[in-house]
Amino acid sequence: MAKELTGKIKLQCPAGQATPAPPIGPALGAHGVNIAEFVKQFNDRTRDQMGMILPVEISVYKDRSFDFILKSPPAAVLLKKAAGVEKGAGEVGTQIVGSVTREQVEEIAKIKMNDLNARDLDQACRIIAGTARSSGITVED
Amino acid sequence: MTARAEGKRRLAWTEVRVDVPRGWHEVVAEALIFGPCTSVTLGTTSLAARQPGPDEEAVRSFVLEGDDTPALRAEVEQRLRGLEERVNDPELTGLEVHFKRLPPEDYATSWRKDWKPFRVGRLALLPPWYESDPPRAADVRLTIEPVGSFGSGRHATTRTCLRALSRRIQGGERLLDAGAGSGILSVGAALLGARETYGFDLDPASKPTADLLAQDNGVEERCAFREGDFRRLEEVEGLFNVVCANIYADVLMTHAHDLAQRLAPDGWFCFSGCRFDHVDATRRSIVEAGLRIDEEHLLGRWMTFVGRPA
Repeated sequence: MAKELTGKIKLQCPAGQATPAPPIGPALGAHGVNIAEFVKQFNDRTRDQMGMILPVEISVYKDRSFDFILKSPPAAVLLKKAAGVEKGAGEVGTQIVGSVTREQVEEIAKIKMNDLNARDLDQACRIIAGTARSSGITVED
Repeated sequence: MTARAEGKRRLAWTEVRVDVPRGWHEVVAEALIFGPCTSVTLGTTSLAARQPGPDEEAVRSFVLEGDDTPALRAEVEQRLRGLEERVNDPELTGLEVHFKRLPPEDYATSWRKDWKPFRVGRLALLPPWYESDPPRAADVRLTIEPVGSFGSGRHATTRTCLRALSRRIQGGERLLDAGAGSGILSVGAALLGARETYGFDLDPASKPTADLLAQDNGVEERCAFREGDFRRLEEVEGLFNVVCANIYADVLMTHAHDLAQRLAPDGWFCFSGCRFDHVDATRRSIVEAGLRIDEEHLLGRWMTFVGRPA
């Protein structure tokens, strides 16, 4: 049945390990959503991606029911995949762990364009390139 | 729960908030997720909260009061400065972090305060944690956990159907429930006295949810649910005294004839899910299927038709 949307909530949560604690609790609680049920459904759906932080968008309706979609994987994950590396530079990002090309950056920027809410492709590319540098991945021309 | 136990569960948290230029939230969120900060949320909870600038987004993480130490705050600052340095983009400079202590709250249960019992006809819809008796002694208790996309009986179409069932169920009926969803119409009917219900729904989440609702209300032996479309009708024999369909108008129009064929000559139907702008076409389909409309109920933007064979 079509329902009236009353709110959208965006979170980034650890796959398979969400809890009712903040930020989930206050973000969903403000809309009267059954937090335990969201946590259960999110963890069930993301258990096979444990270790990743996943962007999720929750739609809340007038009758306080909800559904959610998992958004595209974080840019850092896509960059690591493109660079063929297992992990990023870790805590401080001083170590260079791999490289990607400008074309790969643009490709990822296009995938992430909507989720980033970027102004245009140029800004999305700069954000992806910045994310790459932050993860210890260099961008080669 | 004792006041002491209640107090123990009400934990105090500190909000860690950074307003970031539009588009950069993900990389800042990654920097904020470490140690005791396990997740972030984007945006503010209400319009009353301080709003970010016109081209900014608020990224918020949270730590327990006990983890909110000077060392943690210093680490957050350090991570942001390190991030700015590594990213090296003019847009991502001068990020400011704000820490705000929040009042103690038990987030696992505090959302429940908004779920008050409500009555539809003879039915009192109560959440499972509501331990008192229903508001009126004569109310028929329907226990429903507010879950996921199926809602909890509050949608206008569901309420109108429940009201019709509440008024018309005499006891001993056989009911067909097309597009059963959470199973609330079948379970409500069974609680009101229906002898047997058969529901089906395309959504794979429907059957387990509806089975659980029937179990929670002790009517699982009288309520059968199946996953599937209208072809499920081929598996069930005989006519029904009541035919309910709370489904989209286009589906209803396509299958009005199938539903009419399963309605007993002395039975009645309740069709809902029809938006006000589809009323004329839906009404026509119902009549063309050989049914007579006795009542039309408009609630909000939704029309419900109740009637019997012509």
